[in-house]
Amino acid sequence: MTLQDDVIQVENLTKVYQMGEIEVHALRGVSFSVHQGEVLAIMGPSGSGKSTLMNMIGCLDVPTSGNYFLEGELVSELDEDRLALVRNQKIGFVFQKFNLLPRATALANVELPLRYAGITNDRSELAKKALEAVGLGDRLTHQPNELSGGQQQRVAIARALVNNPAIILADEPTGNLDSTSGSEIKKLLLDLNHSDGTTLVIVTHDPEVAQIAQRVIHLRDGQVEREEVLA
Amino acid sequence: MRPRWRKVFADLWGNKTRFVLVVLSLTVGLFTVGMIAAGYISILEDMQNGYDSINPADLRYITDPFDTELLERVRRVDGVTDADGEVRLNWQFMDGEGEWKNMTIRVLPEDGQTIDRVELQEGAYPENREIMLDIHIDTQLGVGDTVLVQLPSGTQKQLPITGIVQDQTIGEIATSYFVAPSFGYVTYESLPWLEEPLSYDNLLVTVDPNLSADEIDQVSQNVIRVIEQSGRSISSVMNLTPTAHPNAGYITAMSGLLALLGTFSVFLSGFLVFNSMTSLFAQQVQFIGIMKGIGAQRKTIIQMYTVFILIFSLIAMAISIPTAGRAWTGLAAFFSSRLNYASSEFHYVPLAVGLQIVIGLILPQLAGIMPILRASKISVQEAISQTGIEVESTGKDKKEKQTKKIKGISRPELIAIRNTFRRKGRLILTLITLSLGGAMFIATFNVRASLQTYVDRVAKYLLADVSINFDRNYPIQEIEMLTSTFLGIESVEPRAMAYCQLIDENGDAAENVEMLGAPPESTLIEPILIRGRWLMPGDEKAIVLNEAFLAEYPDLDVGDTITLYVNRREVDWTIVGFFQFIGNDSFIVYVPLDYLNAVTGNINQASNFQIVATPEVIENEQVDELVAQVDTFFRDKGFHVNSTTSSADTAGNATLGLDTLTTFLLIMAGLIALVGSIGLTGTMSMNVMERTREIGVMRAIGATDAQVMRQVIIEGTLIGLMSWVIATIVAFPLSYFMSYIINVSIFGMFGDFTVTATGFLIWFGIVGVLSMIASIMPARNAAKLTIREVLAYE
Ligand SMILES: Nc1ncnc2c1ncn2[C@@H]1O[C@H](COP(=O)(O)OP(=O)(O)OP(=O)(O)O)[C@@H](O)[C@H]1O
Ligand SMILES: [Mg+2]
Repeated sequence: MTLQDDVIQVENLTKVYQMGEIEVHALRGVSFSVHQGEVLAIMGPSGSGKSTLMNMIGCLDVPTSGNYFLEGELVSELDEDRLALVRNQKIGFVFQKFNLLPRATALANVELPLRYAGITNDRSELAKKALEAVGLGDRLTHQPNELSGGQQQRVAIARALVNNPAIILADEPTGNLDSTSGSEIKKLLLDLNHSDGTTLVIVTHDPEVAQIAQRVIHLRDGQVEREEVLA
Repeated sequence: MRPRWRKVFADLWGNKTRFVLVVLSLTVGLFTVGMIAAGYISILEDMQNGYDSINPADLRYITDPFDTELLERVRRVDGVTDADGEVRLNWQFMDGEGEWKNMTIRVLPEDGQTIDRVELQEGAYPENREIMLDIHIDTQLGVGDTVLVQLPSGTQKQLPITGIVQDQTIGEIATSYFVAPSFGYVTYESLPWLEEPLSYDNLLVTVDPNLSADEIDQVSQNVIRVIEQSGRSISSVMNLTPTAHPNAGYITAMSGLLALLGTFSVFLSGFLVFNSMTSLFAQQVQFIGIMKGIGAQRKTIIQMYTVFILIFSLIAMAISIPTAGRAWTGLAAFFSSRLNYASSEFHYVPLAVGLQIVIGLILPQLAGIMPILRASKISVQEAISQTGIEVESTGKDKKEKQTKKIKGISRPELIAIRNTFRRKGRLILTLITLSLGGAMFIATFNVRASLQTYVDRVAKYLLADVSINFDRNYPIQEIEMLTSTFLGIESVEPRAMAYCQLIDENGDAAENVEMLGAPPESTLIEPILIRGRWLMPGDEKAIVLNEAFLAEYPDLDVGDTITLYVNRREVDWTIVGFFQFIGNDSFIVYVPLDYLNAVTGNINQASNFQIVATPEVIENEQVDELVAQVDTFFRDKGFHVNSTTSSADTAGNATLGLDTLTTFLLIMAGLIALVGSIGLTGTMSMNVMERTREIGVMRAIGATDAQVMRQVIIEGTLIGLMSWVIATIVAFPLSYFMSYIINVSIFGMFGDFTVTATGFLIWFGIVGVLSMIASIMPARNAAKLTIREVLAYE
C-alpha cells in the first residue's frame, strides 16, 4: 500500500549491530516516507542512527527487520545484481568523506557509474556535463589529491548525479568542509532539486543546511523523535 | 598491557590474513635459506667424511696371485700406512624375480677389512660359504634368503645371505656406480669351495695423508719394486689420490647449485618479507600520527614496533629453524641413497642456523622500519587526514601518460593497469620476487633438457640392442656363424677394445686412452662429428678422436699424426676427424677394427659383439629375453661370457645419476616455486586488501560483483604476466649458468646448452592460476561484506 509518488517508504526499520556479546540497537523501528521531488533533512545528535538509516536507504547495508520500498519495490527481495543496478541507476550517494578513487581523474571518477551502467557512447561527454554542472568544467583532469575538499565533494556530487538518479542521498556532505564551501555545496544540491526535481535526502548537523529542506526528521536513540514540516 | 600496545596488537592481529601472510613469508623464507645453507655447508663435508671413514685405498695394484706374506712386505714400505689384499670375481646370480644378473664379488681379506671397508647396514658378516649383498641394487633378496650363483665354470652354488652392506667404493674402479652390477661379499676361506685359488690378486694400499703427490708417486714406485722383487708381474697400477667418492662429481654439482639457490633464496625471501612487512605497516601510518598527536615520542613509537616485529621474527624462527635442518637431513638421506654416500644424522649446522637468526632478526626490522620511520616523520595532520584509501602519494603525470599510450584497451582495463603501477616500489619488489622464483623454476627444466641431450648422445653410440662381452677373444667368424641361425638376431658386429697411452713430443706416456675398434662400415654408430670425417672402408691407420683431445690439445687437427702406445708398440695414426662424445674428459678414440687387430695380433678376433635384434623382438619388447637367451646360449657352449647387457639398460643406467640430479633440481624448483607462489599470493592479496575500501566505493556507485571481480583479476593477471615475461628473460642466463655448473662438475667440461619450452609453459600456468586465485580470494571477501562495512575498512 504505497502511494504513487512516494519514492522512499520505510516501515518499522530496525538495525542491531552485534558487537560480540553486546547488541547495539542503532535503529529501533523507524517509519517515514519521502515524496517524489521532496527535500528531506535528517537531523539528530551524534550516535542517534542517522548514518545507519542512510546506509539502509542507499542499499549499502541491510536492515535487521522492517520493510524498505524504493519506488514501490521491496528492496529486501532484490538480488545482488539488481541491488547494484539500483545503486547505479536510482541512487546517487554523497559521502561525508567524499570517497573518490584516489588515482583517477575527476572525469574518470564521474565516468565510473556510467561505465558500470554499461554505457559506452558519449561517456566522457556525459561526465563532462555533470562536472560542468557542478562548476568543475576546468578541473577535468585533476586527481582528488589535487583538488580542495569542496571541489572533491563537488566531484562526488557530479558522480552521484551523472546517471540521473531518482534520489540523491547525502550523509553530512558539508561535514568535512569549511562554511563557505559548505554553503556552496548546499546551494548546488538545492539547484539540482529545483532544476531536475531530484529527490534529496540529506543528513546534517547544520540547521542552515536543514533550512533548504521541506521537511526535517529528528532522530534520537534510533527512533523518530519528531517530524517538522518547513515552508 | 598498556593501551597503545593493545591497540597495535589488536590492529596487527585484527588483520589476521595479513598477519599470517607476513609470518608465513618470513617462515618460508627462513626455512628455504636454512635448508639450503645447511645443505651447502654439509653436503661435501658429509660425503668426504663418510668416504674417509671407510679408509679408501690410495693405490691399487692388480698383480699375479699373492698372499699375506707380500702384504707384510708392502706394509713395511716407507710412507705406506696399510695394505690389504682383495679378490674380485664376476659371477651370475639369480635375482628375486628369477633372472640371471651379473654380480661382482669382493672377497674379504682373511684378517678383516681395513681398506675400502664396507659398512654393515643389516645382519652380520658372512662365515665360510655365506655371502653379504650390497644394499643399492634392488635384488629383492634379503637377510635370511639364499642366493643362487653361477660360477664361471657353470657350477651353481647356494649361499645364505647374512647381511646387507653399503659399499661406497662401487664405481671407484672400472664402470661407474650407475652401471655397476650388484656387489656380493664372501670370505677368503670360501675361495676353494668357490673354485678359486686361495690367493689375492688386488693389492690395496693407503699412504701417509701428509704426503705430496710426488711423494705418493715415489711410494708407489717402491711398492711396485717390492711386488716385482717377489717375482710377480703387475697388470695395472691405479693411483686414486686424492681419494674422492666415486660420485663426487654429482655432489659437487649439487653443492654448486645449492650455493646458487641459496643466494637466490636469500634475495627471494628478503623481497618476500620486505613486501609483506611494508604492506602490514603501511596501515599503521594513521595510528602513528594519532599517537604523535597525543604526545608519543618517536623513540617510543619505534621501540614499540621493534618489539612487535621481533614477535614475528621469533614465531618464524621457532618454526623454521628446527624444520629446515631436518628437511635437509631428509633430502640428504634420499640423495645419499641414490648417490651411495653416507649422509650424516640430523644435527644443527651452526652456520646455517646463524644465518637464519641473522636474517630472521634483521630483515624484518629493516623491512618494517621504513614505513614506520616514514610514518613517524610525517606531520600529525598528514597522518591523521589519511583516510586509508591511499597511503602514498603518486607522481601521477608520468603514469597518466604511460597508460594513455596503451591503445585499444578499454577504460576498466586502463584503470586496472594504472592500479597495477601505482605502488612502484611494491610492484618492483613483487616482480623481482616472482621473476627470480620463476626464472629459477624455468631454468631447472632447461638444465634437465641439457642433461637429456647428454643421454641422447650416449644412445647414438649404442645403437645395437644387445652387447655381449667375453672374457677373451673369439674368432669373429665363429660368433657370426653361431648367431646367424639364432632366432631373434638380425645381425652382429664385432668390437675390439684396447687401453693405450698417448705419447707426447718427449716420448713419454702422456694420457691413458681408450681405443675402440669398430668396422668402418658400421651402421651401429651415428657419430656426432665436430671436424673431419668418420672412419671409412679402406682406412688403415685412420683414427677419430673425441672432444677431450681438442680440449687438452687445441692444436691438434685433421691430417696430423699422433703416436699411441698400443700393445707395447708405438704406433702412428693419422687423424681423420673429431667426434663429440658425452662431454667426458676421458680420451676415447675409434680406429678400424681390422687394423687394431693387426696391431694387437688378434687377427679376425673380438671380445665384444654388438647384436641387433630382429624387428619382431623389438616390437614385442623381448630384448630382455633375447639378452638372457644369448647369454645362456654362449655359456652353455662353454664360452667365457663376462656379461651380456641390453643397450637400453646401459643407457638407462648411465642416466640414473643424472636422474638423481634432475630430481634434486625438481625438488629445488618446487621449493622456489612455493616461495614464489607464497610471494605472489601474499602480494596480490595485500594489493587487493588494501583496495577493499576502494572496492566499497565502486560497489556504492553501482558496480556489480562481476565488474569488481573483473578489474581485480585483470590487475592480478597483469602482474603475473609481467613477472612471467621477466622470468623468461632471466631464465636464459640462469639456465646457462646452472647447466655450466652441472656439466663441469660431472663431465669436466661444458657440452651443449639446451632450452625447452616445458619450464616456461608450466610456470606460465602456475603464475596464471595463482594470480587469479590470489586476486579473487580477497576480492570475494570484500564482496561478502556489506558496503557499509567495506567503506569503514581501514
Ligand atoms: N559497525 C557498527 N558496529 C556497532 N555499532 C555501530 C556500528 N556503526 C554504528 N554503530 C552504533 O550505532 C549507533 C548509531 O550510529 P550512526 O553512525 O548511525 O550514528 P550517527 O547518527 O550517524 O552519528 P554521527 O552524527 O556521529 O555520525 C551508534 O551508537 C554507534 O555506536
Ligand atoms: Mg553519521
